Parts: sequence; structure tokens; C-alpha cells
Amino acid sequence: MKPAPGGLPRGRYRKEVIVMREVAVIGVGMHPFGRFTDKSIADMSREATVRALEDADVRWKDIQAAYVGHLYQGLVFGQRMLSEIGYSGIPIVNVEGACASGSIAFRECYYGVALGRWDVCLALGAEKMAHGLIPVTGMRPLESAMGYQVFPASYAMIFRRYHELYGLTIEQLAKISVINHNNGCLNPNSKYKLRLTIEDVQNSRVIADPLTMYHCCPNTDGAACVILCAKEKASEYVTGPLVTIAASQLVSNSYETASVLENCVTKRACDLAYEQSGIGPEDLDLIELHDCFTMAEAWHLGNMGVCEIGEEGSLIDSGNIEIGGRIPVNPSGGLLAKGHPVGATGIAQVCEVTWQLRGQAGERQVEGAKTGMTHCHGAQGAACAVHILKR
Amino acid sequence: MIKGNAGELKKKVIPVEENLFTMPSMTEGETRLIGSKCNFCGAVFFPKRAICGKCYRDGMEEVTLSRTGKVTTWTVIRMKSQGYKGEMPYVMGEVELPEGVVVRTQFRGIDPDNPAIKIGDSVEVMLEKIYEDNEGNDVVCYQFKPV
Repeated sequence: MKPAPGGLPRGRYRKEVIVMREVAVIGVGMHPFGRFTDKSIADMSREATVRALEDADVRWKDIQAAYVGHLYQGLVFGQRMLSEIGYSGIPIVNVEGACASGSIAFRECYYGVALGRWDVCLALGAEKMAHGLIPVTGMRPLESAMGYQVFPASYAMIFRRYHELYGLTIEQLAKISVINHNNGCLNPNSKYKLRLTIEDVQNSRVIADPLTMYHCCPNTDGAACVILCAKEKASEYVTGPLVTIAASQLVSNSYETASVLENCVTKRACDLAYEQSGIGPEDLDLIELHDCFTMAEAWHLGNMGVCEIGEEGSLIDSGNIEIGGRIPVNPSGGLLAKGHPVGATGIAQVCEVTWQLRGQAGERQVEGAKTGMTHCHGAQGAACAVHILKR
Repeated sequence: MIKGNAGELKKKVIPVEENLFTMPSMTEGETRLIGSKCNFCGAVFFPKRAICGKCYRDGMEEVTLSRTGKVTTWTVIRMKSQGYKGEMPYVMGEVELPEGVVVRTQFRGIDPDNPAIKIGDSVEVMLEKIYEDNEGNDVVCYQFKPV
């Protein structure tokens, strides 16, 4: 490989300079997250898709393309799921990016409309999850045989580092679990509806010291779907204020060899999204972020610029990330309470932000919300997708 | 290349993965991690790789890495992951070597129930059996222990 010619920031990222159409989220629908042993993944995908189509008042025959996120559901997953609705013969793209699969599907769907390829298309994410630790497939023998790829362990190690460097306490992290579970109590789509205390969180069983079970999100089943439309065409389907996409960013990092302490992807993706949209962390009314573990939420908050890195503990204590605070984080309950059906998670974040911006979030409504950000972090930062929505 | 010959032992001792570390029989009892150093920009990587991940040029030289480093973080894992073949629970963490390379590792000589380990501790690389394979061979991997 020869070095790139001078001038370009060699391969780090290239800014998108193409003029794009504005894109509106005109329909959202979810199948609740939880354990549904009596339902197939096709049942859940169909229900989420039909709800989104009904919400957008769009007929299936109007959908021009579909982008489908999943991790474990096998070959031609999107084709199998959407044939439940009808055999329309549209292009269907299956997308894998670990926990960010749904977000990446959403982003590709967005670009399909923004670049003028489609006027109306759909992003679906769905998953049925096994119990226990999220299985990591395709690892090198070293990593599987030595038990290196244990996600809660990575976040336990990040915590220990933050504790040493910044004095973040495990009780402050436990409070994130308490807050997100409180929010989940207000969300009909949430798996858990639990009022926890810091003691409850700390007294649950240890997974990776010092993280206990309630510091970790539960694996769940679930599905979520959104319908996107060129803003100029949206009035053909919906009336009233439109939720539009102000920024879409996706960045990557190495997976196998990266130290757990590097979180350059969240910072890079968010900085690019702030620049693209002209909306900064101080302008955001709410954030749905990838709280696979309590430590993940704290880690991302600093890297997003919601607080300075090292100030996460005081931000948690301040009450500002609770509903009613300055910048509510995971009002849906997040992955911690709502659950984590990997492929559906990123799409469900968009559903939540859309409901919040429309003022349809019921008891968990963030008053007057006009801007919201979604953030998914796949495989410890191998992929990180960030979207900013506004109305 | 590494043959995994254990000399006087009856059964074979084989590495969990080729090209990660030198086997004791080759270095008179001391194992070392095998990494790569870029001939252009000097970046060092573990495990070894063909192309520099920092400057993207093709000019990597195989190097053995320092035997001691500092603990940068650690945890005790109490839930078994798919494909894991060692003992439960286990102490895992990351070690920074003087070359600037951060290595994920298990720790030996530390009691998981009463872990006497802290960030900044000096640790030394060693080889230890992880499990016995279907043919009765001892599969070994690098780990770190307190100095």
C-alpha cells in the first residue's frame, strides 16, 4: 500500500459534501420488547411493520425498498420477514453491524431517500435472542478459548479505569440503572417495569466484578420499524409537524485488538453529527444512547460532550439526565430496562425520539422536545451510528 | 515455526493459536509475545499483522515483546461465555507493555474471590495450560502473573 497523496486526512473519514434531500420519518411502529415464547420473529416483524405503515398511512405497495437490521436471524432475513406482508419484489438489503445493525439499516434507508434513489422506504430491525451472555461468533481461537470477549467484562474494566482516574463510583453507575428502570415503568414497550433502589442494583448477582445483573441490559425479543419519505413528498401521506433527520453518521474502529478504554468512535460520530446538523450537545432535548451497561451510558455521555470526560459522576448525581432534567437520557428506559433485541435496538431508538418529538410519548414525554439524538455502539465500538432528529 | 514439542512430556503441548507467543522449548523456558513493528512509522502491534494499522503501509517486521508490563485495568468474570474452555471464575484485564501495546489477558496467581491486584501493578508474561483437547494434548496460552 502506498501512502495517500498529500492533503487528504488519509482514510480517517471523508466529509459528505453532496447536497441531499431532506428526509422525514413519517411512520414508526414497534412490537414490544420482552420474551415472547408464543410468537415467532416473523409475527413480531409483521406487527411492527404494519404498525409503522398504519402510522404513516402508507400502503405496502408504495414502499420502494427495505433495509433490514439483524445479527443472528439467518439468511435472507429481510426477505423472509417482509414476505409476511406481501411479495412486492422490492430491493431488500440485509444489514449486520452487531448491536448497531438496526441503526446502520436506518442510515442506509435514510441515504436511499436523501440521495434521491427512493421516495418512500422502510427500515426494519428484529431479533429473537438467546439467554445468557450475548454470543460473539466468528472470533479467533484465542478470544473464544480464553473468554476474552465478554461484554460486561469490558465495561467492568472501563469502570475500574474511570474509578481510578476520575473517582466515578459504582453507586453513581447504579443510579443510571435506577433512572432508566424508572423510565421503563412509563413505557408500554419496555420489558422491565421495575422500581429499583441502588441497593437492589448492587445486591443482584455479580456478572463481571463489580458489575451486577442490573448494571447489564437484558437480552430480549422485539421488532421495530420506521418509514422514511422525502420531505417534499411527505404531505401525500401525513399532516402536521414533521420529524426530519438532521444528521446521520457512521464510523468504525478495529475490533479484536482495540483496548477497551478507547471510545474514539462515539466522540468522532457525535462531533461529525453536531457539525452536520449545526445542533450541539447543549441544544439536544433528549438522547437515546446505547446503555448496554450502566458504564456504557456514563462512558458515552462524556464522549458525546454532554459533560466533560471525568464529570460523569456529578452529571448522574445532578438529576439532569432524568425526565424533567436538562437533557433526559434514555426516556424509553434504554437497553437497561426496555431490553436489547440487537437488530431492533437502533430502530426502536428512532421510534422513541420520533414519539418524543411529536409529543406522543405519554407519561414519559419530555416536555417541548424539538431535537433528539440516537446512538448505537456495535461490538464495543467496531461500529458506531449516530442520528440527530428534529421537528 | 512453532511445533509445540514439549520434550520430555508424554503428551503434546500446543498453543491455543499459532504465532501469538514463543514456546518455552524455543527460548529456554521464557515465553514472549510475538508482535509486529512497522518499518516505516515504528508502530508496534499485538497480535502480529501484515499491514500497519497506523500508516497502512506493507512493511511489518516480526518482533518479540517485553516480558513485563503494567496492569491498566482488570475484572473478575463470573459468567461463562460461549466457547470458553478454562476455569470459572477467572481474573481478566489489560496490560500495557513498554512498547505501548495493550494486551488483553487472564491473570494467574490471583485469587478471584479475594483479588490482590490493582492498576499499575507490574506483571510478567508466562505460559499456562488452559484446557486439554480431545486428543489429550495440553493447550496453552500466554497469561500474566504478578512480578
